Amino acid sequence: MKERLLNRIREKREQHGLTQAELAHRIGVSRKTVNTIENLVFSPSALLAIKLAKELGSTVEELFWIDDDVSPRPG
Amino acid sequence: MPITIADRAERLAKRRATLAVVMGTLLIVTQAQRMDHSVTAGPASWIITGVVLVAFVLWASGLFRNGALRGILNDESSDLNRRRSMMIGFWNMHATAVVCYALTFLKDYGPRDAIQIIMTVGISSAFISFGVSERVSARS
Repeated sequence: MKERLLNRIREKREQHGLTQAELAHRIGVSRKTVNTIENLVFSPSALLAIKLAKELGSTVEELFWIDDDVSPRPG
Repeated sequence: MPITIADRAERLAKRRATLAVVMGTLLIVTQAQRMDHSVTAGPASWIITGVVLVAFVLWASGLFRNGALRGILNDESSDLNRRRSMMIGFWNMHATAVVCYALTFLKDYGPRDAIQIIMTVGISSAFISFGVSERVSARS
């Protein structure tokens, strides 16, 4: 079974009223990187995941989860 | 409104992606012309091609830019695209080498031609795939 890392970055970003470019600027990456993470094209490193969580005022576990039959979705 | 480092990085990344595709395509076209032996390609043309390619790679890596801009330009997603493209170029070189070997049974050609074909396919495919994947990543 193939596991996928899902996230709720877009939802949290919109809650904070941030654009992709603004969030990217705050964590020191390009808008393209935020875009690819939101569209599940790219899985960020632990470093970037922690930066995102910190910037969006949540935890890494709230932002990211593994999509399989075992792992329950948080929140 | 002043242009921020992020704006500059985004513009440069777009330009880099487009240029990568253009460079890859140009390399294929110029090398194909050189395969036509009626056009003599001396060492000078090889040196020019090499210098242009190296200059592009150095410019694309953001070597001449400040640290912050270079950091954004070469962030995680760009790094992933670069690694994938290099892998595509590497495997394409292998596949082309196998094709070149098979062709020796059908056609007589020298090692210089074979090296030219293998290098052209490898470098061009890496450049083109990098450019395309960067453009696709930037699309909302």
